[in-house]
Amino acid sequence: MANTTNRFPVVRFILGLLLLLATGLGVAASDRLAPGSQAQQEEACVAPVPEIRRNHMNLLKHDRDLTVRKGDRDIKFSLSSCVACHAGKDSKGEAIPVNAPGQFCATCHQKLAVQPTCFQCHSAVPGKQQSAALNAKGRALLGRMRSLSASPEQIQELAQAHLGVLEK
Amino acid sequence: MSEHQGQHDAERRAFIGKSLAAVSLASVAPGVMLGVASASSGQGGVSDQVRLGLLIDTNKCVDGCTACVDGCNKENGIDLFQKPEGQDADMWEQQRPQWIRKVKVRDRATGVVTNLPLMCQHCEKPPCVDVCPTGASLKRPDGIVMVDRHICIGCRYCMMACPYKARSFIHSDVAEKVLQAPRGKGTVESCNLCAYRMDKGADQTACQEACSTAGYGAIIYGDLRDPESAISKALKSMPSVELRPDLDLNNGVRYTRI
Amino acid sequence: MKKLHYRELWCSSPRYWAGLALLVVIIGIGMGAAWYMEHNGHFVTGMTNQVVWGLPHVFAIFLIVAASGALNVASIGSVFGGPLYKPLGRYSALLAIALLAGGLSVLVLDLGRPDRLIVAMTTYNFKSIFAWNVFLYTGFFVIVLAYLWTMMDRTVNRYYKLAGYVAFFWRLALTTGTGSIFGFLVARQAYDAALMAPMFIIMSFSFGLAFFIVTLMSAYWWADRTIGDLRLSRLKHLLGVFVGAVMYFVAVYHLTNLYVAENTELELFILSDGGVYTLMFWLGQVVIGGMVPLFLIYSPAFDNSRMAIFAASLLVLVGGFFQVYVIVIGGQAFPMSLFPGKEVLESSFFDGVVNSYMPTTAEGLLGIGGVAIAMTLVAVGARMLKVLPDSLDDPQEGECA
Repeated sequence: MANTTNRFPVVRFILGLLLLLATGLGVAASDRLAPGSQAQQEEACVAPVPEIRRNHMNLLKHDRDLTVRKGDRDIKFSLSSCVACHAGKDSKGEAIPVNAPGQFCATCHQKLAVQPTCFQCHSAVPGKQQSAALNAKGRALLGRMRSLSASPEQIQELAQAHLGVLEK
Repeated sequence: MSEHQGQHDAERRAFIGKSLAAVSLASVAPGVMLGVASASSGQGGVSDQVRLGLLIDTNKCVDGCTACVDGCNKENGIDLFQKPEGQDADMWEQQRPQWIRKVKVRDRATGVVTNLPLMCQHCEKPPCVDVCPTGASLKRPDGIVMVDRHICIGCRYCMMACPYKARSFIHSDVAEKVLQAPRGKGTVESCNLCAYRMDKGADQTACQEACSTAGYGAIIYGDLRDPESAISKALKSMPSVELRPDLDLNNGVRYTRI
Repeated sequence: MKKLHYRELWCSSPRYWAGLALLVVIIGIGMGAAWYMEHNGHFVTGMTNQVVWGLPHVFAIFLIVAASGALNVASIGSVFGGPLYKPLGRYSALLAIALLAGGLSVLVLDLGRPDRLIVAMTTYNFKSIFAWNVFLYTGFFVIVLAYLWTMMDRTVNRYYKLAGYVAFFWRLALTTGTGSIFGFLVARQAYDAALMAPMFIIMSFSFGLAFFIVTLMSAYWWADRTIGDLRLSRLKHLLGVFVGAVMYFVAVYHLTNLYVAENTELELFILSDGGVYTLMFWLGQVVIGGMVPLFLIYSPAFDNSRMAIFAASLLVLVGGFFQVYVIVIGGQAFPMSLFPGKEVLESSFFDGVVNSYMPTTAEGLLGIGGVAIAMTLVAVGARMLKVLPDSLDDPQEGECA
């Protein structure tokens, strides 16, 4: 081995280049995104592409422990936001499960033969909030409306109307 | 000859050395990046100065009403659960998950009948947390007892240990998954005091909201440690008990007039 | 002195290979049953949110309890200095490992998420007796293998005594851990008792020895080897003592519960009103598992009968299985007392009613598969290793073993 690389420095160079490429640096990212997904319109992912490609499972795992065990929802790597951004849409505008064959997750995971088990429990399509929970902004609005002495029915109605806008 | 050999040895050593350096760099680098790019500040999360709980006024709880059960089922995606094909209806009744249920009891001595909703009691010393081998059954700093289903192995020991039979096992594949309660086959779950919606800023649990909407208002949720909260004031104004007080688990869920 | 010669177990080849093939088929069916339960989810089993541990757990606990007891014979030989038992030590260790492996496979395959076994082996909550059991069970394998090695390899034979003591105390800890799985639970009236751990220890002595006798006699019969009458008689009397001890513990357990007002209903359930559980207790556990074996062992009419010893051991195993069934399933069938002094009129979650459980075929096949795994390991181990003495004839005048 040493003999060959010694006599042909070019071989060394090519080997090095191949190794570098194998780390995934500089590979174009946009061909992997699902058509119709919000990700196609975004400039960048929440982290640089090579990093998130290699580490997304560790980042998700770290943040899920913060959320579940400590109740910290203010995290950067939330699975539901990944799904919301990366789920493709079909011709009718309906979301396609992000882990379906040919969709976003499969573009890498099929080749790697590693099955992501996330979606055995988590929803693979962006969720419609089933509950009538108000987020912090909604509650602030509610507080202001209460102080204006509107009737309870009016307040509830206004709150519901603003729900869709304020929910992130 | 030996000179030639020595030269090759040196080159081999250099090559091995460089490869090792490259491999070490490649293994360590992601860890370094992970540290830098790590998620949230880690300062967030719920506080242990708060203790969340429920007070249920059984006087206001009405026979035959299942508003709280329906509200909880809708909020947490339990109403989306379908009986698996070919399964016997009676068996499914015993296997489907239930986070909250209505119970009607009669005192043997006096004959007085009481209705009440029963859910996870969010004990301060939960037997389910003690027995979980992986630590999946956990108590949050704010007192909510729940299951981290990422590491639950489905051994059901917590279900054996719970004195209130609060836990349910998921016996079949989950077709429709909801954002606020991800669940999968083979893990265990129970009432989590609507942690998802409460963390996002709601001030009523689904059962409380359903009960108020139905006009009874038997359920109050709140911070047991805050003397100004509605639940603390209610607890001071009327006598209440925890279920199975002899077990001394210091439940977060209290009942009046049982 | 006649030298003790250990030899691999050779019985006629067709018989051996046919038997092994049968065992492998049973294991295959068991694995298929496990896959069926895991793939579809536990709705295909008889287990529910009320009776969460079913027939697979009965098999698993039975085998695990018997495993630590099977090591008893070796312990008597090395720790308690019984010369007649010493030649049986190697086989005792092999049987212990095999039974534990069989029991654990059933337990692991019944998990809701067996794919997360790695999580179970790397993430621990040390307040849980289950977590300690993971260490106790895996440690048992290591220690008993080391023990077997000291018995078989002359170069490490000087560690034999040390290994014997370590193995003895480790298995006591292991069975205490298994009994504490139930003993630590306050939730159910059938379990909340410190007596569970020592009762499991004495059950392990009884079941383990019964397994030992049954498999030893079978192996020697198949291989045309002899076991001496005195040695067999010693084993028989030891089994008698253990069976009696188990019955004593069971009596104390039930009498104590009967005395306590809050547990009276539970006792009436087990002892008279429980339907199938009552039948299993009296007929299975007490009569078949206790009184008939004691009669076979101690009655002068069967003094010289080898068949009686074999039958007694087999019945002890049958009775033991029913005993574990009553403990595990009967204990769950009886309703939890959430509202002492009150009766439950209505509940959608089956509070206050006796819970029904009907085992399904898949669960039974998985359990039997576990027994087959244990027997396969014994068969292969006895044939490949020198664990069984050529002859277990009684020692002559002046000899020790």
